[in-house]
Amino acid sequence: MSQDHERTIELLAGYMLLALEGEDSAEADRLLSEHVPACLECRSALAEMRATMGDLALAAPPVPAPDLVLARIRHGIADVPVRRRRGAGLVALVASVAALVGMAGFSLSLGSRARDAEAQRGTALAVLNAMQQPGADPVPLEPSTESTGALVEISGPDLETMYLYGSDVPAPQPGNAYQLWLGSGGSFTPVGQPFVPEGGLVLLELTVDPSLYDEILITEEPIGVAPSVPTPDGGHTWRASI
Amino acid sequence: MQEGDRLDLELHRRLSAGDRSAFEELYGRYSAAAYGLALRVTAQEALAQEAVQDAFLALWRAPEAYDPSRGIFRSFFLSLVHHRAVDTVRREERLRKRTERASNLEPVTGEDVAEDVVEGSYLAVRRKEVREALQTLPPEQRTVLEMAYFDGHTQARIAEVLQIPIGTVKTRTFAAMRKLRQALDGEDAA
Repeated sequence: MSQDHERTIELLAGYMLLALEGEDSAEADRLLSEHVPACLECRSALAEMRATMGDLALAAPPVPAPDLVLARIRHGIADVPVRRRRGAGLVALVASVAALVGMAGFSLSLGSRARDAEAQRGTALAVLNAMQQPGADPVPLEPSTESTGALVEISGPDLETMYLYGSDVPAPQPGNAYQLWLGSGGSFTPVGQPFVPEGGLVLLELTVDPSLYDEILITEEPIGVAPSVPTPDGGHTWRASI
Repeated sequence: MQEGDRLDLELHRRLSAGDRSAFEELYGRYSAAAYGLALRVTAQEALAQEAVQDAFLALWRAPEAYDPSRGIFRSFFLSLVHHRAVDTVRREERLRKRTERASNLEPVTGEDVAEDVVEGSYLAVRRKEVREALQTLPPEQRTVLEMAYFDGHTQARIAEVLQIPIGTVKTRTFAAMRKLRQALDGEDAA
């Protein structure tokens, strides 16, 4: 194993343990999107680490879950499908983007993987501006599960760019990344690179013509494997009609 | 693949078709392991319950998230629980408070008989193997692995607590994971 690979896999071990932060986390994101998909050695190491993580869970002693946990789960199941309010959280989202713009040195996950704080701040400003454009149409994406974070797509008749902003977005399973899809008439196209939220934040800037599409999906996909084209009624993590 | 893993696969197939009894059977098989893990990570009952609840609901709502070609169901689901537990504890920003409480929740080893009552013996065998494999690790490697996995600490925090360079934490973590895998692969081959 080369020294570079040793270091890469060492970093991925920390990633699988959810133990990275700061520059290491950003570097792992970059490796997972740019290097690992084409590297058999790294994909194999990831698969082994995934199995190890699953086994390690058993070192904790089992404890019977209180009855109320099952009762709550049954209640949750009865509520399926959970439909999130449309638009109700928009004001809060606008406020949170505005807060981001005002933050110094924040770090976001960008589709371009740009790590420059100024570039990120600029994108956040662009999102804020887009939200305030006449005719802008921010659309909250509906999550498949109750606990997933809030994501909103922003586009409009006078905008040549589509933005995706999210907060409190949970990280995908270790070894996975999120993939954005745009659909038209039930046919979907992957858009942009797979992404992983950083600190729960997502900020994607997409150069697309939104008028060509009627649906947006985000799926969770294993890194290094070509994503399966979703179907309209298939699995997804977030979706919205646009 | 073990018999228990094959049964999980069948239950997952039925769950994917909307079979609620299959879901409840999976709950019966994994709720104790999931809650024990979540309790170990969060050290707070309310947070552990939330993590377990989130994980099972996510499984019900999106069973397709598990891809059998990527490993056994148990690994997938317990990783999901672990992920939710770490997310939960970090979100609540209670890591420091939890450290004190965790001392009262150290895993008790050598109680497989009692654990057999809590859950099926199909997990108890593997649990014993994992604990034995962990014991084969050099203490300094086992420590960083457990601090990351069970205490939810970042590598930077581990370096701070142990007062060692973060590079050493990374090296020990990787070495621990590799040795653990080798030890468990030996068990699998036996």
